[in-house]
Amino acid sequence: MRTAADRALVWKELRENRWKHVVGAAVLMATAVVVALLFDYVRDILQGLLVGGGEGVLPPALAQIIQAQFSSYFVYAWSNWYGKNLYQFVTVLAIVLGMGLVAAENGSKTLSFLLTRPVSRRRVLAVKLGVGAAALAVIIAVSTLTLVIASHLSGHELPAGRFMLGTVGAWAGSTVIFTVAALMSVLFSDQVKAGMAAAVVAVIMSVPSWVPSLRWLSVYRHMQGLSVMMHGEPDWAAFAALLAAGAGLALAAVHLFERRDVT
Amino acid sequence: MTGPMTDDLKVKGNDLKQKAARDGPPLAVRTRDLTRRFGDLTAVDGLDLEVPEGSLFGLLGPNGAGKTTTIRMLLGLLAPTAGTVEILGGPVNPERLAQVGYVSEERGMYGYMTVEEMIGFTRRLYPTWDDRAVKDYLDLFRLPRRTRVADLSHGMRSLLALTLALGPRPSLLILDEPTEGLDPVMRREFLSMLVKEMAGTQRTLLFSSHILNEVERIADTVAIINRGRLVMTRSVEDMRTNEKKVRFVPQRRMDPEELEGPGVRQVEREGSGFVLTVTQDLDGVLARLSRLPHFVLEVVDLNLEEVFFEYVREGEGAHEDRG
Repeated sequence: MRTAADRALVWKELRENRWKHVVGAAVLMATAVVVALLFDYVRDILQGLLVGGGEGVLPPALAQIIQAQFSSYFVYAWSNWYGKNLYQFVTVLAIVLGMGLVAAENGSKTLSFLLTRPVSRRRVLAVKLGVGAAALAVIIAVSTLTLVIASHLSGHELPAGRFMLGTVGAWAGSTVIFTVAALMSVLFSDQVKAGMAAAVVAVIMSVPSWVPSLRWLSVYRHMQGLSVMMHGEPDWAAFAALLAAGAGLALAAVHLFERRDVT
Repeated sequence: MTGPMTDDLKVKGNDLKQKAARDGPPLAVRTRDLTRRFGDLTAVDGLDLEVPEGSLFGLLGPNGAGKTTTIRMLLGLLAPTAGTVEILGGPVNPERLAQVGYVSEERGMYGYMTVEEMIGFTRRLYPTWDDRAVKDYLDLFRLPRRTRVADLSHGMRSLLALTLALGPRPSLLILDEPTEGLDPVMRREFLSMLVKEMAGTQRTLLFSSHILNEVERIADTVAIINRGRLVMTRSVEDMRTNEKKVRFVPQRRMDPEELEGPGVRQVEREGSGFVLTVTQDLDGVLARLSRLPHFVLEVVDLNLEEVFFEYVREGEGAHEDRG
């Protein structure tokens, strides 16, 4: 019975969010392909600017960064994938997935249906959180794998194992953002308000990134997986801290959800 | 078979029988001093409600009386500000909810699912489910299995919600304004099916409504709530027998106080006479009044609607003097 109910809840969550999952995965996969295909094109343009008598067109500091980024395909792919597109898009996706967990059901009046079935609130929210976190993991993994494959097809090899290892930090960070949005979804009856509140928290969470001495506190920095890029090994302490933060937020959401009035 | 164990069981059985006799019939729903406030508004105010097992219990009240808030507290959707709630012998939890069928006022269901998917989903949440009965309801209500719930009419959504509530063969069925939005034909079909389902079983039906003739048609017990307070609980039979108006025109000048007594809830002046609202012991009241000198002594039957208005009007603080 327990597993049948759990399976039913998982099925419902997947059914309910399938378009968010599909669109999220499709956009990220398309981005991965574009990132892979643009390398040669952009490198040629930049080389023209930097080498073909174009010195002085770009400020020296910027020229240096661009040269470093295009010095190897691995550095280019990492900085454009983990350093920009993936964590930025996944942050938005985590908010979109989390903000509707409870608030959307409240808005569509299905929450009273669900919570009057013989399933505890703890289980209901645990399944919702589990499915959301799993969906993020799959979307991050599939889109990153797309980049590895697209790179291979466009004539550039990436160390697949090492590159995929970067997803660990991206996923752990995205679950923190997701559980923040889930918590807001429990607190607010309206999913737009929940999403806006989660976005505000997400912006506040980016503040440590701007202060060099506090960067280790930044979720987004850990999502960029610099440790894997530099040393081939994730920062396991940061990974554990992100998971602990996500678990703490999830427990807080469950605690509030168990006491929440459904009007 | 005899022996210490069977003797022991006999003693326990006798104890239980004595306890049942002492405590009255088992209750499907029991609230004690149940209160719920929303800010300054007290939606439910010290409600003591007892719904006996096997009864068809109608919860009546005007809009905003506190019916839905009460039901939501029974199901654990809202936490009481004060007081206690018991359903099927204890606090609400998933095990007890497995024996409860509920149709909410807004018929909240997953609009993106088809009727078939909605049934399949709900079925897997319950430890027991009567597939045959659900199939029969679908046929009876002519519910299209492959249509999305969002595309059903309001009436069909109500019928689907009822089908889902009956699927687990619940001991307690709670319906919040079940026929709201149904056309007369569908309403009749809905109520007939409900009566048929509940007849001859020990299952309890608790339903709220403000459509009084349908309550009168199916309920055996009625409670009236007004402004969050319970103003009356009576069996429909008792109400039909004893809840009357008595018109009395005396031969001499009398004060209303002289007519008050056991069974008389209210005495109102009407022209040169009085109208008494009798709630109990009609025969005794008539015997007492007949001994007073009078020109007119007549009994006026009240239907549930009139009884309802009497109690609600009283709750609104109506003046006693109509004359």
